[in-house]
Amino acid sequence: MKGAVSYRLSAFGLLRLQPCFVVCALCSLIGCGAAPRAHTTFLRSVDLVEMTDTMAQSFASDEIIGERTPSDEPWVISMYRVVNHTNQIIPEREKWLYMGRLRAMLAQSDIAKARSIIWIIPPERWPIVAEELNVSDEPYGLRMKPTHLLTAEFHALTNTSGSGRSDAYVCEYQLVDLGTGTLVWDDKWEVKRAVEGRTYD
Amino acid sequence: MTERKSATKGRSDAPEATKGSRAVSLGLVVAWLCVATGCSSPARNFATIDAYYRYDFAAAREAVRGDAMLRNDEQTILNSTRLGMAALADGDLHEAEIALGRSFELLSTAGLNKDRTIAAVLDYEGVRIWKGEPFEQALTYHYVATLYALMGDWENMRAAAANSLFRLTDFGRDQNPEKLARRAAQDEQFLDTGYTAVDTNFALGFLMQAIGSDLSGASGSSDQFDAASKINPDLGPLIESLRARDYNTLLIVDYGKGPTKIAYGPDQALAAFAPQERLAGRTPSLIIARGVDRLLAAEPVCDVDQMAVDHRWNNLEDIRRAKSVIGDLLVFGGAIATAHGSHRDSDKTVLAGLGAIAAGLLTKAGAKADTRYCEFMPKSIFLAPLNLDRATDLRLSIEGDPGAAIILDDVAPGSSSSPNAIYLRLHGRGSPNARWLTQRNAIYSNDHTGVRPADYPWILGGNDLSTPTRETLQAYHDNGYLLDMTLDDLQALYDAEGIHIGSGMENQPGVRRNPSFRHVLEGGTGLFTPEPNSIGYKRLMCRPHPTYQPKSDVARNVAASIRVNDRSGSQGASVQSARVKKTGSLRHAQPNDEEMFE
Repeated sequence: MKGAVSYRLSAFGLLRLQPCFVVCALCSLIGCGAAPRAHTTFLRSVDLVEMTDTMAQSFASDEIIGERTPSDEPWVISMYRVVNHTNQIIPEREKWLYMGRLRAMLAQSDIAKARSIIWIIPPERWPIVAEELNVSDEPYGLRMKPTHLLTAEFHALTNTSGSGRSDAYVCEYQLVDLGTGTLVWDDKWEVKRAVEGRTYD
Repeated sequence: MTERKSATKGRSDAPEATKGSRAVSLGLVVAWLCVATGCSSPARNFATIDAYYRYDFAAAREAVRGDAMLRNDEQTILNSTRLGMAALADGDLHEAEIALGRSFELLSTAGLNKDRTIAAVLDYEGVRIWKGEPFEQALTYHYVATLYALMGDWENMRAAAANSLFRLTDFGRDQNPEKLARRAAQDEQFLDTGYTAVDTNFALGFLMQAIGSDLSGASGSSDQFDAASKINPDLGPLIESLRARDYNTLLIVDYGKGPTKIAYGPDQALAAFAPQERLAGRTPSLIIARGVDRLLAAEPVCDVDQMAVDHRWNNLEDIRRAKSVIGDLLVFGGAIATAHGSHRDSDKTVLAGLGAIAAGLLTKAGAKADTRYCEFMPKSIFLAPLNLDRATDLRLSIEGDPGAAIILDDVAPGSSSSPNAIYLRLHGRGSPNARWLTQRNAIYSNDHTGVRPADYPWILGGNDLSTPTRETLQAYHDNGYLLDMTLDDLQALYDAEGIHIGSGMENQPGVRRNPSFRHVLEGGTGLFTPEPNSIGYKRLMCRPHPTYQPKSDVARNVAASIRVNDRSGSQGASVQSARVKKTGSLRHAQPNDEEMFE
């Protein structure tokens, strides 16, 4: 009788212990071999698409640009500079992708013809853009003398702490008339990204 | 009666059920132990370390490339950093950007080990994804900044350096791992609450950020120079030179072997970094000379040995240290419980005891400190801005270490707005003395030097390793060689030899890529010119290599024609007339064509 009780207790003990072993074994298995995944506050390709879409829309709906007609003297807009003031690495080819996509969107739309605008990229930058956009033909007007300069500046406010990191990005576009030095159009796109967890764990 | 039978049956089944459960439990314990054993510390990659410290960066990269590029596991950041640093030293900026870019992204990921803490406690510390100690992280960011400096991309240099300036945890003066472990054992919350978050003392990071800010036109460089100066007032002259932009050439020089990480103490639960370079207690200077003129004696901006022993630059993942104690208690307590249960015939107590022993042994096994570290880190890092008035030869040496010297041939200055940045990796006393480091002139011409007079392609018996371009071919023509060969023909010639133009250009499925990262001079299939003034460039171009043996008939024939014409003392038209018979393309030259030239 004493033995039977003992067996029941043992069985009960085992049954109670089993989940612990299972959990422990699973923890070990999970911990061993799972692939690290990058999860950062950096700008991503989805941001590129959203940003350039928004900026293209803003450009197209601008009052000054809207007043232009096909018979006006063409504006030759050069995608001049992309400036990275964030704490994120943005390789040269990616920088120009931000400009290249905007140029491609505006060039493909009716705006270019309707507003008499020619988009150019500094010839020395064209190979980078062509590679990123996977196009081969040099676009019309690439080597024309620009009348306007378009610049893009990326800024970020970075906060890091023991509990995570956040980056508030502001991407600012400006179009300057080279003849008068006046700012023709500007707009900005903002996004904030945050991740939780220790950065140096 | 039926009930009694059932009851009896039930009682008689109980031991069977218990035996079954016991077998399952034991099986799980064994499985768990196996898992734990399987996850033990990964073997160190001695092949890559050994090659790296022999200046054979090509072999070092080969030995780690597979792990870095194909695997995505706990060692990914470590292997990517190793690969990136070796590529940087070898002068392959493209591969360095890929590898260090991966490290940068993963290092910037917060909470990478969030779900691994339990596994690390139950198992082995190595199941955690290696991010390195904070000083290794800061240095990895520094190498990303260095990479962009070499590329003249000052914006990204600034951005990378900015990431190295994270705050540190300060537990007070005179702290060491033992003291901290003791405090942590007494106070469970100590490691989470017992510190003050302090600003970094990484002067090198501030200087790199300041240089990047200044040259990219970003604001803040003045404050960043001030911060570096405040951390280390001895850097004053260097900072003034940088602040005044009184330089057009920037040397970033690594010297010596960084500290090694060892486990010690009870159950090897504690980890510490120990210096490897014995320098008689003196920090060496970097001497830069032009001929007999000493241009600069630079002191190190960063002493990695000092960083490594500073508790503020260590993670203090001290759960492993506490685990050792927990292990002892569990094993001891478990043994007592088991003995007690056996004596009293109490299976429950016995099982509890066995469970405790198993848990104790596992945590004890897991208590061993994680000794993974980046072996490529140097002992000292120097920054040396120079204002060169013309292209000039420079001799760099480490004071007191005659083996650590290099001569750079014809260093072209940049400008004050975009200086020429050069990165050099010099090893210390434990590494072989590489004579080619002080060989002044390149033996082989290349994309950096241009085709020299009277030279032609190395694969045809010449000494030129330029990649085929219109300019290169024109230079061969001007030298009287390959006169009726077009650029397509020249490229087809390399193609026929299985030589890829560029580093790592092999991209066929199922074909090994490693050989294409190795230069043809060293038996690989890549034709490229490493970053000028890199160690990789010196190793390839400044020491003699065995003569190339053409593999294809077309190359053999063209090489033979050149030999014949050189022997006869004529080039130009003779080469043209004696040139291989073409049947549409050079690829289709007849095998027996060679005989007519012998």
